[in-house]
Amino acid sequence: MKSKINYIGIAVVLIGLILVLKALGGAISLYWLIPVFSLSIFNIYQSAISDDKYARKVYNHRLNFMVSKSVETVHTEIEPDLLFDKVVEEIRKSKLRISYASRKERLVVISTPMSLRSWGERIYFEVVEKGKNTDLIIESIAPGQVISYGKNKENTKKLIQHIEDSFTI
Amino acid sequence: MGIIVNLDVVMAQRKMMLKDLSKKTGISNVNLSILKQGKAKAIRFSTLEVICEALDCQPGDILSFEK
Repeated sequence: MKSKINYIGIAVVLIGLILVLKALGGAISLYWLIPVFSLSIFNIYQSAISDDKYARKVYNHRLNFMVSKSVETVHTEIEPDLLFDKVVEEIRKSKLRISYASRKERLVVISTPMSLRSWGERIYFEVVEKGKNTDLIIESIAPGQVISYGKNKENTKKLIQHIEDSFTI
Repeated sequence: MGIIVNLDVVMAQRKMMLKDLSKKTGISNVNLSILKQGKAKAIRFSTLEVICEALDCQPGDILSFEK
């Protein structure tokens, strides 16, 4: 499992907080509030595009520090198209909302509802053919959040377990 | 080799299509395909029971062991 702490994001948010506190302590100047407003607008933009499949590119951009994610891979010997169908079937059974599904791209995007720990995550299921084997990449992203409070890790763990259990027929 | 799933052989003998078996057993096409290809991790007794009932066969006809 690849799940790293977003140190840059945490640092930027802390600096932003210090700037706001400084601005509130003295005379409130527009200069201090510019980075805070910029980040807020960027977060609104991230939320607005969340249902779009291209949002993944924005979330995974190396300069985007306002996002936390967790990635996990399942290795199988099942044909890619069959695995894609299986994933869609299992998602439909679990009553999660499918935002986007493409058999051609072998990509499924689902959204989780808002909770106390997050504003809702986007989960990407990608079926990748690797020679004779097929990999299922599950990526959980919490847009606009530097820390997901373990929600991303929990999502990927639960989904991996669910998919693996579903191979008991 | 291990456990071999002969579901495709039994289905061919009974001249039954995958979708017909799916209708009869209530098991999805996807799950039957995975089972047929021998890619399933395990099989439940309940699944084996409905398949045997639909195909009028014994579990030994569907599963075999090869060294």
